[in-house]
Amino acid sequence: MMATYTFDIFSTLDGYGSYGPDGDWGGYWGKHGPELLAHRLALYGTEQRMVFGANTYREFAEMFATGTEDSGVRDPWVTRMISLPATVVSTTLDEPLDWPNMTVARGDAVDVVARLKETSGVPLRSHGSLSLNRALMAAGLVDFVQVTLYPVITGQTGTDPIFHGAADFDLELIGHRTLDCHTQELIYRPTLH
Amino acid sequence: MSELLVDFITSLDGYGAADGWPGWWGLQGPEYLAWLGDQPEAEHTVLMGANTYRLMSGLAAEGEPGTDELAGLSKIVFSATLEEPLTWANTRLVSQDAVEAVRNMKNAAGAAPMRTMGSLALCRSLLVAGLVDRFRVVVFPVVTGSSGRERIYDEYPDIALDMIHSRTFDGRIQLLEYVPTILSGPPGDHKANT
Repeated sequence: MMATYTFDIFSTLDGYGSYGPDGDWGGYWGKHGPELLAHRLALYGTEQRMVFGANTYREFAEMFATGTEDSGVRDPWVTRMISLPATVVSTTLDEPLDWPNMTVARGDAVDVVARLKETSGVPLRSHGSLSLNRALMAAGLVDFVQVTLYPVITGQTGTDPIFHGAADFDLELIGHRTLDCHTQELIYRPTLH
Repeated sequence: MSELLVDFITSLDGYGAADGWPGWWGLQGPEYLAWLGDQPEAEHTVLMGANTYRLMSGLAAEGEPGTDELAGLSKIVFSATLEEPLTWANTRLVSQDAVEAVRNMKNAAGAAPMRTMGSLALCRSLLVAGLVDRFRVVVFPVVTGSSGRERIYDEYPDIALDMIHSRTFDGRIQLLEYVPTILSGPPGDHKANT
């Protein structure tokens, strides 16, 4: 059976994945609460393999090396995430990487993930890694898009628009929940329109 | 103070419309339509800009399904170019600045509550001016990265949102309703926040 692939992404209501130097939002745009953190830890508690793009790996590694408490990088679910077996798709990074269970896969992300889906005995999950996941969505390899919508609009400071340059998709809503009374998680199964 | 609700439908990626897709992206369902039919804002005065007025009054004139309910609603169009008489029933033309007019209406004793219809630029101006009490989006389950147009959030300020309601219709359509707090405006607009 093919392993499922989940694109797990944090977003503002207006669709930005991050913010620029003018934004002093902090991790989770300052909107995390106990339900969110417990839910994240449960999500990452099961066996799975992570898939990252090179940029996201570099950003995470740098944040982890220098990040402060309020950036969220010391939260238990993040610690758990970076302890999971992981594949980073890159033509430039070399092993060994900073994270314990991470291997570098050369080549095209679509080929790498198509192969992983056939061979992995555990589900695949990606966090962030926008351009990688955009390519995988276009190739029809993403089974679930799991969007956590934080209750902010960042028209001035938003960066990394999540679906910028994406194709058109029909989405089937698989799951939805409200966390800490203000953050909305939506899980969709995307199909190219 | 009478309340002002900004009310949008949107794709997951924030577009209010898309080329080649039907209305509601073809994804409206019985639960959503029933809610539209008996939502509590039926007594609100509907606010719109000139483009939305031209589009919607044109559709109404053609007998587009769903537009007949709009005819009976009290409506205001803000426009410096449209002229009286307006053809769409129960529509008042206001040619003065929309922000000033809405601020006055909110402060008027006994004024009806208000909500917007479409009208991206008008909604943005009202938000930046701090006049919006509720911000509601109904998220339809599509991504329209190729065909989307009229992105709702372009040129928005930064806004903190307090969620006051969420609801799922027909197992696929997600309503999200917030109280907005404007954190910053685009350069030059800060005066509007005070």
